[in-house]
Amino acid sequence: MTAPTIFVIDDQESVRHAIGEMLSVFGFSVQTFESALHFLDQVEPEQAGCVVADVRMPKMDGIALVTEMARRKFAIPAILISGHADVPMAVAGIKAGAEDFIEKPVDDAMLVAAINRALSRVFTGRETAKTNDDLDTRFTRLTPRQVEIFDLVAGGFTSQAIGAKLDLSTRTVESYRAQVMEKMQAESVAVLVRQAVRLKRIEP
Amino acid sequence: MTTEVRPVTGGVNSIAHSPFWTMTPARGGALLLAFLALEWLSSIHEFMSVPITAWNPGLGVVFAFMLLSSPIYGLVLFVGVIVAELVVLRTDLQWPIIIALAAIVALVYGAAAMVTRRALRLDAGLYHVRDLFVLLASGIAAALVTAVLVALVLLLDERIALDNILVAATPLLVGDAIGIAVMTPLTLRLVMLLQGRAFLSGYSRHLTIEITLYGALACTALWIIFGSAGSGGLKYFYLLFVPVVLAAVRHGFDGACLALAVTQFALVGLMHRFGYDAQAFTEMQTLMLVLTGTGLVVGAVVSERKQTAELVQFAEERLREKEAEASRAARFSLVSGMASALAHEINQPMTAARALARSVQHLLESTTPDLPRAQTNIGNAIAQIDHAGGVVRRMRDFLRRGGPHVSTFDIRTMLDDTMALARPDATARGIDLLLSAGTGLPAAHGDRIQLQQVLLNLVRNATDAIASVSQTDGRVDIAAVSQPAHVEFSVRDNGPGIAPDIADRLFEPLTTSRQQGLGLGLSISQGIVESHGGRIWLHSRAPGATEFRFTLPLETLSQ
Repeated sequence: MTAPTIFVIDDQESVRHAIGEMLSVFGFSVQTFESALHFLDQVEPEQAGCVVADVRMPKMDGIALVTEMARRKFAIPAILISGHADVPMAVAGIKAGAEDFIEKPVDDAMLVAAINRALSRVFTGRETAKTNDDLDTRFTRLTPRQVEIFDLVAGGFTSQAIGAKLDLSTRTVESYRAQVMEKMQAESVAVLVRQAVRLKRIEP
Repeated sequence: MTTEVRPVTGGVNSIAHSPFWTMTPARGGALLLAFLALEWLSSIHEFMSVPITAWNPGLGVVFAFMLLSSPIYGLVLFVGVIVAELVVLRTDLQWPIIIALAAIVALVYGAAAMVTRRALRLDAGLYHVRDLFVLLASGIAAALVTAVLVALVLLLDERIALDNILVAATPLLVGDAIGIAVMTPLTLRLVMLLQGRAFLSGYSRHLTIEITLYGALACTALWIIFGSAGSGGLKYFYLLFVPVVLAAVRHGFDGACLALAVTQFALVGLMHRFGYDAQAFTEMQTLMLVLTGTGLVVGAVVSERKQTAELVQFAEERLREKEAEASRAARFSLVSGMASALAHEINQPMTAARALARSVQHLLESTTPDLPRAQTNIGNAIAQIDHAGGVVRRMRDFLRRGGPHVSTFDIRTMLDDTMALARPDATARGIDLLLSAGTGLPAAHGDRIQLQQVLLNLVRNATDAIASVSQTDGRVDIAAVSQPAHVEFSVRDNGPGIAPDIADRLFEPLTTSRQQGLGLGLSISQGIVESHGGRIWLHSRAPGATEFRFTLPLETLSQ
């Protein structure tokens, strides 16, 4: 089996080249594409690797790409990069099937961690029953208020919107959210949303 | 820039309420002393054993205060007349007569002041010709009534005979009238000056020379008048019009007041010195009254015109300021609409620069670093940072505060900057933005940022129109064509076109087809283009080929 390739997709040449160069210096094998359509044209669904794509691209954006990849049954996980990784957009991306969501300017450690997580998950196979059990146990430990927050965050509401809904200050919501993420061992909102999907709290 | 406005309205009532001029014993006393001093100064002639002062400058001053504050100042007049009769004129009149005379003067002028203030609503600042006429009319009417009443009292006292009454009353009337005509406006203007409601054109060498010239003219006129034997000099009186009218034309009402006061004091002093008799005196003073009226009216008209011109200028300045403000607000609204696209535009190079810098760091950590590769990457990183800097600079330039900044600039660079600002937003909306401009574009003269604003505004309107119908093949073409006398810019889009009812009043303020639109963009653009001597118009409102054009005249720049 060949080493996995990182497919960097960004309409902007400078960004595409820079991220590709960084990952290549880090030792990844990298391929860059100027658009989602080019990627879909040139890469086979069975290839081993991970997509790193900008959300905001002309013609086909990152979310459309992820949706299309799911439709074509790509085995390749995708990490989306966005200039404004607000919660609703992250949720839309994760719901569409993206592995993770990273904010610009990209923190390379976070990107590499996300790539490694995505690759290892693909190699070790999809969700095992065990992790699902774990997830259920963790979820039962949430207080009713925390469950409420969990659902709303996974539903794509911003802290501000949740605050308005529950008549709480944004700060209080943020602190609840941090507690929920800690209890659920979700390192990012993206992970939390995926957990919600697995727990069948939201529709994928 | 703000300028202080000269108050134009705010009548006498507003001044009356100012505590500065309300009557107090101290102020009344001071005014009394001034009155007596002026009575003493003005020469004395007896006519048919009726002691009268030649003219009444004191009366003029006190009347000014009655107009300014309240007829209460009539008390000063009452006491002043009595003391003047006793001390200055050393009258042989009986007490009841003296008191009756004083009462007549105080009451008649008090009533005149009251009517002028209340019914005729005089503005004591005398900023308008109307106020001057009101003042002169009421003053002369009061002088007339006083003269008649005083003559009647003297008739009752059998001091004068019935057939002499007119001859006796005339000098009284003329003396009072001239006192008011010369001294009341002067006093009022001086008070305005003290209150900071009037301005003296500052002292300068220029002014000194001018005043010397008027003085010389007046002296020459007086020398000719008094040089001619007897009352023959009267026929040269008109010579005095020259310096007075000149001063009035050059320095308005204040100039006229001062010139008249100086002329009158000089005239009276010289007549006294040359021993003119009462008859000649009255004749001379009648002429002086005419001169005073003429000088004051000319001065008032000049002042009013000057003031109007100043107000117009002030209004124009305010308008320009407001326009600049609106234009600035429109710039902010343009940029805030593009903000997220511009943030993206900055984030992109930052992302690239960070990734490249990190790759260099990683390369250098290696035991056998690939230095050429690191070198290339760091060079690219610097280029990316410069790119981000460029975005920030263009945005800051565009939002730069302050008024119009005219310079000679390169049209091509201006177009490129505009494209750099407009492109992120257009791209985010999936709209192609194309520039077709040759390299042979000339340099232009004008406000680069403002012209950029016009272009950005047209582009923004075009992309908004395309986005409003969710068109997927949206395209905006920007072009600049150099003509012999001007450069013609055009912005064309393939959007839905413009409805005829909107097209007709497109450049009027508050016309908009957008829900959030202010409707200021095109009206401001028109203002900008026209201030550059150009023209802006809707070339075509057709769907699929909507086009705006504007011209920028090329000045023949000195080679």
